[in-house]
Amino acid sequence: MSLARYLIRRVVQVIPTFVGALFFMFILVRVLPGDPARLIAGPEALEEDVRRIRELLGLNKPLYVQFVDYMVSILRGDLGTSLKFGTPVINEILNRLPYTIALALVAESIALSVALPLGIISALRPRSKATYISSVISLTGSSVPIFWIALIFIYIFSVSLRILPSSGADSPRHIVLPSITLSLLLMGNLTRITRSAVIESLSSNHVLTALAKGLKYRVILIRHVLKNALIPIVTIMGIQIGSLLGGAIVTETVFAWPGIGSLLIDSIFYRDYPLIQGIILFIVLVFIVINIVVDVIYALIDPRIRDVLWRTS
Amino acid sequence: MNLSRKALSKTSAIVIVVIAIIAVVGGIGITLTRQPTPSPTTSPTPSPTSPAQTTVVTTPTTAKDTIKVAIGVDLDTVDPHALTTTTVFNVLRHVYEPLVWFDDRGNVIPWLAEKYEVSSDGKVYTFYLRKGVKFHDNTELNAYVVKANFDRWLDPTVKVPQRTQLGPVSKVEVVNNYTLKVYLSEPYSPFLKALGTYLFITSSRVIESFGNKTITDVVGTGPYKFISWEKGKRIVLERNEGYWGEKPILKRIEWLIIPEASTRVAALLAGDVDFAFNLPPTDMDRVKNAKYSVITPISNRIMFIALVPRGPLTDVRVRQALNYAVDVDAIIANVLYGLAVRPNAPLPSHAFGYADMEPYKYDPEKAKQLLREAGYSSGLKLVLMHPTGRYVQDKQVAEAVQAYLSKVGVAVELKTMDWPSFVAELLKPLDQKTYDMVLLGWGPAVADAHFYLYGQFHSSNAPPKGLAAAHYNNPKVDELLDKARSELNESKRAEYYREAIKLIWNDAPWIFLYTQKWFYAASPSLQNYTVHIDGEQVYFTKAYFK
Repeated sequence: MSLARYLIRRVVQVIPTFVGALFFMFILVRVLPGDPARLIAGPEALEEDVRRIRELLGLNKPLYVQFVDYMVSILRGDLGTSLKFGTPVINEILNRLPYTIALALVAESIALSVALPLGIISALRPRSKATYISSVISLTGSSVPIFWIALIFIYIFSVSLRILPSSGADSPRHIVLPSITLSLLLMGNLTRITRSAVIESLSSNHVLTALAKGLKYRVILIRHVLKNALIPIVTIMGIQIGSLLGGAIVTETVFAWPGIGSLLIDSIFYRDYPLIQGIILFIVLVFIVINIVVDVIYALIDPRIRDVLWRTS
Repeated sequence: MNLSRKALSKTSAIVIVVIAIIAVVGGIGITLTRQPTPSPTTSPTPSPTSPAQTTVVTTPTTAKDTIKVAIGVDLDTVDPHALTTTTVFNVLRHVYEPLVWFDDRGNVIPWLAEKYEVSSDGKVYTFYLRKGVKFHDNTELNAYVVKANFDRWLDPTVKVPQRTQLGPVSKVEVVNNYTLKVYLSEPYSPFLKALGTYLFITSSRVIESFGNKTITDVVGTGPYKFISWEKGKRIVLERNEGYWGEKPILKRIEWLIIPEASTRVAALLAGDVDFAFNLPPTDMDRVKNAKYSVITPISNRIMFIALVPRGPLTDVRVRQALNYAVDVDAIIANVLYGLAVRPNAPLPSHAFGYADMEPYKYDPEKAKQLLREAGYSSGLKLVLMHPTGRYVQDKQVAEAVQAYLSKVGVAVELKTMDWPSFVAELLKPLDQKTYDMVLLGWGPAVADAHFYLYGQFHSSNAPPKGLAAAHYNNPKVDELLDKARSELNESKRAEYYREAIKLIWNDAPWIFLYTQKWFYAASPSLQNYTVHIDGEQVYFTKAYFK
């Protein structure tokens, strides 16, 4: 009951964020230099043809008329028609969405399954091998360009060993290289956060109390240390999944993975206003939803947070 | 209290894990269910799913009959009348066909029209259509269908980006079932070439059902049928068994969209594709060493640095000095890895109307002397605008030019821009320009002097109206280009262009650079693919694997 009320309140709060994002997007994409009609027709096109296309696309109308038109169609649940492709924006996004979701979740799962144990071990045993491995991974993941790692992987596993396909998205085998590449990017951050959260939690008073009570070490670790450490980990995961769903542009491009990221790049390149706006709106939506989900997970993990959230609703 | 909290946390942990697992599996499941029919002939390991085309699998001993081709850009549209991009023309030319086509020297030959006549005033073209040609939807090609295509092309409510390039068509008249007349409002000499390049014919059923909306149903008369298009991923074509002409050998063409050039090289070397378009010149040695066939076709794109006529650049001596100051041959050899040729005219040497001029040989001393004569012995400062990632090695070429010009006392400031902003800047009128020179490429679909010179040197195309980047304004050249546009006698037309080119060459409104070449590569077993006369398109209608 209280959860439902909480969710309703959050959804209502989202509306102004949404309208604000819409307005800013609408203005920002049009402030960028570049004329969609000219970009669609190509540099060699003649002025007469470019002007005709501008009229057909409605780009010659005053800006406020275009904005009102856009808002009206949004209210009717219509994201508009892509200037470049001439197809509904929503179809273009839905075409790419499954690939983006699959890549984001697989990459995040791989990152998590490596980072969590590694982070915990390196927090508990600061001088062990695991600690060194984890700092190497953190450093590599956050400092080596992902583009370069991707190409190296392709050359090792596709060109030399020929055990994995270089690019494309046809089978589960195709997701292996892009997801591992992407997970390297996420792993570093996740390991660091896990490690510091566990360390912080270890030194807290309630763990000290538990130790003094003579509880078993394993019980303390799982019930008292890890549970408290989960909050920052869930936060960072939410942010990571959110940005991955917005499109892992570099990874998608290198591995020819047909996700949202490559669509966004194309749409910006052609100044395809409705498509850019549609994708950004989608990303805004993803972040809002993920924020809510993360908050709910907080509440499930930590009763103190739950009490605060539920009560204020 | 304590107990319930514990119980709750345990349940919640389980719930989170389960949700995560479901989400991951669900995500993979979505990709799996979206998986298209597997390609049975090329996968190196046996596919776990049953192949969709049993006909192919039952004959494992015959040669491979699916080709996989890596391209860098996805289709933007499949509407036969809205195409603008070379790659898209290339893919869809396997499906759609025009009325006339080109032989391997670039001469116009009959195609869907088996014969054509031109009236003596050059304003009426009569086309006699080939009989018994069927579209992929089994309807028949006739004069009414062709007229419907022309009418849609001319319909101002349809998005047709190249409409005016086709020529001043005023109306189309059906004479009988297989004959039609096309009327031009004035003579237009490149009409047949433009017709063969731009106007693809689709069936009347498609035109009726889509009207002025973007056509998404791909129906042509070509040697291949359009099977599927998974956006951002692949386009699949299959052999048209009822094709009216010579039947292709390969059964299936898969065009894989791989945006990153380095990945296209890797995909080729890994055996994932059999042919790859537009590879980075830096990888040429590696591809050669791996025994792949390297193809470096010459493109339709002329590269140049347009000089904006203001300040010191209004002086022809300064413009000529800049031409003497840049060692184009060295740039081709060292910056472009040999992927260019240098014509001695402002258009590629394979284009109709090309005329060879006296080259501006690299001569820094002469450049300095000209600058002195013009009163700039103490040097001058210029801004060079260039795009990045649009042309092969564009940024590097701009840097090389900067280095050469600094040697003769011209300090160049580079202004790097992304393509859309670059075009917006180009289109500004003369008094609002923020640069003095601009690196640009000009690649019309038809290799004919009209499309090069009219687009870049006719004063009516100066920005903001067109992209004639040098704002060239020479009434004599305008007159010659107008005359050539309506001249039907080819040798007279060539003579007009020669005169115009001579004037332009001496005026030096550009730093004349080079014609771009491409770098494609093919698996050594692939035979007999056709490089089209314009050099950028490659057709696989006669190709096979040995």
